[in-house]
Parts: sequence; structure tokens; C-alpha cells
Amino acid sequence: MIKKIIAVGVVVFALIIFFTSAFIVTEGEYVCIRRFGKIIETKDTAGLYFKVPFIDDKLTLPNKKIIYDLAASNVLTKDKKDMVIDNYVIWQISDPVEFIKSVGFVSEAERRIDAAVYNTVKNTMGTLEQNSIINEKLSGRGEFNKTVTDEVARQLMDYGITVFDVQIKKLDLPIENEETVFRRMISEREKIAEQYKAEGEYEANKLKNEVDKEVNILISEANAKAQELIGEGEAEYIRILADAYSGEKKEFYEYIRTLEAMKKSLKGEKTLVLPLDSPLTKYFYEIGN
Amino acid sequence: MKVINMPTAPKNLSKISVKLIVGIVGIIVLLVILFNCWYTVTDQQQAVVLTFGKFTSVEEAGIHFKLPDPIQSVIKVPVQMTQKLELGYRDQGKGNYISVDEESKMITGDFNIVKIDFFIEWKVSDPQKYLFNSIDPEKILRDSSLSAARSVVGTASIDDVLTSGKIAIENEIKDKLVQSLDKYDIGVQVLAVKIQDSEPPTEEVKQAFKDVENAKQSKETAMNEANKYKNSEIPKAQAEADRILRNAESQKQKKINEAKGEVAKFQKMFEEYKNFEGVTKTRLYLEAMEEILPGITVYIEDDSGSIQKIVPLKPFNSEGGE
Repeated sequence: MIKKIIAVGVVVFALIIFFTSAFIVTEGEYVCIRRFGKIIETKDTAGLYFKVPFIDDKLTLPNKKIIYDLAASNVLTKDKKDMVIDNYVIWQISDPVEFIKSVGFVSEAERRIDAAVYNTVKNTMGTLEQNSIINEKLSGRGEFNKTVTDEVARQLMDYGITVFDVQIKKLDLPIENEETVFRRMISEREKIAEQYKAEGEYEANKLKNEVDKEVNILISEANAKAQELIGEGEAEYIRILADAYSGEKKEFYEYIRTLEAMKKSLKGEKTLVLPLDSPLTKYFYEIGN
Repeated sequence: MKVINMPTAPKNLSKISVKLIVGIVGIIVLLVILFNCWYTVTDQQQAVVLTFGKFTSVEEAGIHFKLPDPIQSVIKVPVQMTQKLELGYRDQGKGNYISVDEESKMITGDFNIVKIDFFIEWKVSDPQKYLFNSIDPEKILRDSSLSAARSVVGTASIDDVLTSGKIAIENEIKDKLVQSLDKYDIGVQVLAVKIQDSEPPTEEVKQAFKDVENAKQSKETAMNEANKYKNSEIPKAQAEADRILRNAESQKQKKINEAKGEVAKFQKMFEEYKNFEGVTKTRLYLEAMEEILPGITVYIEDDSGSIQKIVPLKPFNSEGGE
């Protein structure tokens, strides 16, 4: 019976020893073994490991890229314009021993990253005009990000932290300034609308004027051609008559033409005074004789 | 008998029940271990197998065996599935959207503010990296997308963002995002960046943009009317010009005909005159006088300046007039 109890006790003890000494390091983890508070070993490769039970304890840290999202903050640009900037940081523990010694916890590391990024961003923003920070082509947000990343990485290097990237997630105007932008956008659009309207009127009028011009030209050309035709008619008239009344026919023509003229001009007249040498008078006398 | 038996009975019972309990627990443990020895992977997934926490293999769809926990563990990752990440809005299903202004509001390169809703289609390209290279790959993807979108929109003009330049902007965002993700190496692949909707930031500004559209329309309308005017006025003028020409042609011909007529008439008269010169001349004269003289008083002024009244053919009439 006692033997049995001892056997069970041994097995239980062995199990306890096994489970307190064996530990697993998963992918993406660092496990540091501490003995009496001093780190004696760091495991960064996944697998099954053993430590001295009860005496050694282990500390697990992420061996993964961590994203830290800073709270948005107000910064001033070189030209004293207020901007709201929101950054995120991608970082990783590169030296767990140094990290534990100088920082200790991920949350504490984030506090330090926050401070480093905030200060660096604020300082760097202070050297740039608002224009160049918004419009990447003017100076380069990429350049800005790189400057900030390098500086933050330099500051945190000693803490066993690698900073891969500090990026601007958001860059906005403060809410107070937005109203001004909206008003300017509206007035700009009004100007464009006005321009379209004016252009429309101008182009339409131009086209109408062009049409009016063409119409006038068409009509006046027709009129000119018409006058020419009428002139041709008159000329032909004269030529035909002149041919007909030439030579011996001239005298007779003048005679009957005079009669015609008399008929036309005297019709409706009441009195007629003629000088003695008028051809008409001659005819009156002729008839008298 | 009863008195002796009573205390021994629970002793036997407890011996039996302990064995039973140990047996049941043993069977349960065995069953759990047994069920822990196989797993299934669906078509959309890949399974990452870890042995004592160490990456061992990636398994495709099907049923697989493994050693029980904690020796081997399996993490399934939806590798084949295209996932959608919404930025600036959230699809609530049933056609309902809520907008997230904080994500959608951006400044353009020409200092205007726009709201852009867009989404990223992505998938896990490497399950091992996806699981072990970063703590929150989706958060990294989301923040990188916002960053890329802002830096691209920051170089674009408001007109590009709202209308013509959308596709170029989508491509640029995608390029930037791919670059960032390559750098982070978190096993995520971006398939597409699509702008769902881009619009002016407030109702008032939106209205101003609409007014521009209306003005554009009114320009078109004015041009259409001018064209209509052209299409109706030119043919009218052509018709009028034609009328003027035909009229002139007819006048010309009329005049020529007139001349021909006169000449023909004169020719006839002249022939008659030639045959009977004196008679004809007198007859023509008399005919004319018959037509002219009725109602006319004729005075003739002689050399001395006195006036001689020759004709009243109707003397009474004219004398009454004196």
C-alpha cells in the first residue's frame, strides 16, 4: 500500500517537474528565461524547450510587427497653419533582452513610441509649408514619412525596438477651418458655373451673328446679281430699240414718240402754254393750215 | 445482519464508483484526444500545422490527421477567399450604408475637401506570414490603405477625384498600398482598389457642384438653339436669294420682250408709214389730238410775248374758266 502511494507520488512529482520545466515557443514569439531576475537565455525559434523548474521563470514577448495607431493631434506648419495629423507606426521588438531591460512591456514601449513620433512629427511639420505637406508632388509626403521614420527609429534603437514605418494616416484641416474651405469651394464653383453660362451665351450669339452675316451676304449677293440681270435687260432693251430706230426709221420714231409723250404728259391737264417755236406748236399750225 | 452490513455497504459502493469515475474520465479523455487527432480543411482554406509551436506544414482542403494538442495544433486561414475591406462607409446589408466621415474626408492637392468611399479587395497570400509576421494584419491593411489614399488624393485635383481621374487614382492607391505591404511582408495581397463613391463634403458644396452641371447643360442648350437658328435661317435666306434672282431674270426677260414687242409694232407702223407717208403721219397726229385735246385750253406765246389762245375746241367750257 505504501509502495503504491510512493509510486503514485513519484509519478505525480515527475509530471509536475515535466510540466513546470517544459515550455513551447510558438511562431512569432520571443521567450526569455529569467533566473533570479536575470535573463539567461532567449528563445526566438519556435519549438519545445526546457527550463529549470521553480527557479527559472519565462517572459513572453511578441516577435511580430505591431501596428500602433497614435491619437490625432494638432500641429503647426512653418507658415503657422493649423493641421490635424494622425500617424500610425509599424514596429517590432528586435532585441528582447535590451527591450526588457530598458522598456519592459509593450504598453510602455507604445508610450515611448507615441512621445517620439509626436515630437518628431511636430518638429518636422514646423519646417514645412502647409502647401508642401498636403501636396505630395510639391515636396513629398513620402520624404516627410521617411524623415520621421528615420528619426523615430534612431531614437528607439537603444530600446531594442526596430521602427519599420511611420506613416501619415490622416492629414486634415481643423474643423474650424473646414467651413472656410467649403465656402471657398462654393465660390469657386459659382465662378465656374458663371463662366459656363457666359460661354454659352457668347458662343450662341457668335453662331447667330455668323448666321446673320451669312444670310445678309446671301441676300445682298442675290440682289447684286439681280441688279446685274436687270441691267442686262435694260441694255438689251436699249440695244434692240436703237437698232430698230436707226437710219431712215429715226425721223418716224421721233414723230410717234413725240405723240406718245404728248398723250402721256398732257392727260388730265386743263391748260397748256406753248412757245411759238415748240415742235408742238408747229403741229398745231400745220393742222390749222 | 443488518446492523453489521450497514457500514460496509458504502465502502464497497465508493470503491466501485471511484473505479467507474476514473474509467469514465479516462474514456472521455481518450475520446477528446481521438477527436483532436483529425481536422477538415474546406476549399477556401489552408491549414497551418504547428508542432510544439513550430511551423511544420501547410495543408490543403480535405481531411487530415495530426497528433493531439498540445503536440500539434492547427490554425485554418481563409486563403482562397477574396475579402473586402470598406473604407469611409460600412455596408449594413439590405442596401443600407452608414458613412464614416473620419475615414472618407480628405484634402485634395488643390486644397479642396472631398469625401471618398472606397473598398479594398484582398486575400491572404501566405498563411504563415499572415499569422506570424504581424499582430493585426487587417488593421495594418486598413491604416495603410487610408494612408495611401490620402497621399494620392493629396496630389490630385478635385475634378480628377470627382470625375475623370478616378481610375488613375484607384491604380495609384493600389500601387502605393502594394509597396507598403511588400515592405511589411505580412502575407496579404491586394487584388483591387475601387472607389465606390466620391462626392463633395457637404450638401451646400454638393449643390454648388450641381449648379455647375446645370450651367454646363444650359451652355449646351444655348448652343443647340443657336444651331437650330442656323439650320432654319440659312435655308430661308437661300430661298429668298433664289426668289430675288428668279425675279430679276424674269424682269430681264420681260424688258427684252418689251423691246421686241415695241420693235415689232414700230416695224409694222413704219412699213405702213413708208407706203403712205403723208396720210399716216396726219392720221397718227389726229388720233393723238383726239386723245389729248378734250378738256384742254392751249395758249401759244408768240414772239412779241402776247398770248394767243388757239384751242378751245369747246370754247364755252374754257371761257367759263377765264
